[in-house]
Order: sequence, then structure tokens, then C-alpha cells
Amino acid sequence: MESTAINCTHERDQIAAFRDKGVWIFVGIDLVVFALFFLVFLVERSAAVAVFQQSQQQLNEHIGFANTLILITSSWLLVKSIRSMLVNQKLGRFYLLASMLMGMLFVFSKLFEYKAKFDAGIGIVDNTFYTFYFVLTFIHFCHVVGGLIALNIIYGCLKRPATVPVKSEAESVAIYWHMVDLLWVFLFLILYLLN
Amino acid sequence: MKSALLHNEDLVWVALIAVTITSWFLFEKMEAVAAVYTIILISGLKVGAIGVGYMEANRANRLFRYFFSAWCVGVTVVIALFRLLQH
Repeated sequence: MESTAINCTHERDQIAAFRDKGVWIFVGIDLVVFALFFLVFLVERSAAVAVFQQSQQQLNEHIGFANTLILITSSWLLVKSIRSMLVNQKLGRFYLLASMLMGMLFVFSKLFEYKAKFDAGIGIVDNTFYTFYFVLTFIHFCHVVGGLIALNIIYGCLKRPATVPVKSEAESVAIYWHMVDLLWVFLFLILYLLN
Repeated sequence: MKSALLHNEDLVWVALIAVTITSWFLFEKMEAVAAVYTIILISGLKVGAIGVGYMEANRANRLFRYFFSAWCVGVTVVIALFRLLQH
């Protein structure tokens, strides 16, 4: 009986270690892909600085700034959630919910920004800058939505009685969520601030 | 001391918010070329702080730690270089 329990714990630890490694590999690949996106953007920008600068001025940098604060705060709340998860599950759930709400705020803010652009007659094929703007921010947007789905699953697990240890799963999702946050920092820089 | 500060998520958050507001102020008010490079540097530092303070990249295996440091520095330097070459 005892040996079965030990085997179970050992197996769970192995799965957690394997998942952890998988998340770091995934994050690494994603970072490389985004680094290539940034590089291509910068090369294209250097070929048409005037077009890029003119188009950049049409972006709402206030929304970009607000989105940066939102994602930073969401990451912070997620860290607080994970650190309080084992001590006080209720508090962990509260912080997780708050983190998800900030993520949703980012989604709504981004959708609002897209709508404003489409309403102004600006589309993905208008010029190279807008192609990059829509493609890069939409890929990032999909990352945010994916992260929110994963956080929602963790939240669902936390609501059940504390029989299933979800801290390591939550940590894996958090690594991904922080990656989404740090990618936005560079996206905000090259799309909005580099003028 | 440095490590303890970076592991305090509240301090990291305050620092990130403060430097984000600083870079916003530089973007809005400053015309100087140095302001642009300061904004780029701040972004690089922010990414590093998120990686170490929140993501705990320093807890990952050694290969990822080196990769992440190189990624942060590399992307920041490339952005700064392109900016330099364009003007």
C-alpha cells in the first residue's frame, strides 16, 4: 500500500519534471520565433522608415501603454496566486481570478483597438507596417487567449477539493503567461514607442 | 540582497510599473535621441526582470538560463542597432 503511494508520488514528480522541461522548450521556441519576427520587422522598417513612422503615429499609444500595465499587473497577480496557493487556496483562487480578469481586460482593449482601426478604414493590407502590426499583435492576442483558457482550467481545478495537486500545473501555465507578458513589452516598444 | 529583491513579487511589480511610467514619460516629453535608447534599455531591463522575478527563469536548467539571457540582451541590442542605423 505504502509502496504504491510512493510509486504514485514518484510518477507524479516525473510527470511534473517532464512537463516543466516541455514548457521551457516551448517557451524557448516561441521566443526564437518572436525574435525572428522582430528582426524581419526591423529590416522592413529600415527599408521604409517614413511609411512606418507615419503609420505608427496613427496607433493609439495610450492603449498600448495601458495594455502594458495590465499585463504586468496580471503577471504579478498570478505570481501572488501561485505563492499563496498552498497556504491559502481561497486566496490563491482570488488572485488567479484577478489575474484572469486583467487578461480579459487586455483582450477587450485589444479588440477595441482593432475595431477602431477597422472603423478608420485601416486594414491589414494597407501597408507593410499595418501588415506587421496586425499579424504580430494577433499572434500575441492568440497567445493571450490560449493562456486565459489554460488559467481557466487551473481555476476550475482549484475550485474542486484539494485532492489534486495543481501547483506544478499552475507554475507551468504561469511560465507561459509571463512569456506572453514579456513578449508584449518588446512588441509595445517596436510597434508603438520606436518612432 | 539583489536576489531577495528580485524574488519579492511586489517590489518587482512596483519597479516594473515605475519604469513603464518612466519610459512613457520619456516617450511623451523628451525629444532627445538619448531618450529613445533609454526607452529601449528600459524595455530590455523590464523583460529581464519579468523573466527572473516572475518567470523564475533562473530556476530553469542551465541551457535555458543562458539562452534567456542571450535572448534578452540580443533582442535589445538588435533593436538599438537598427534604430542607430536608421538615424
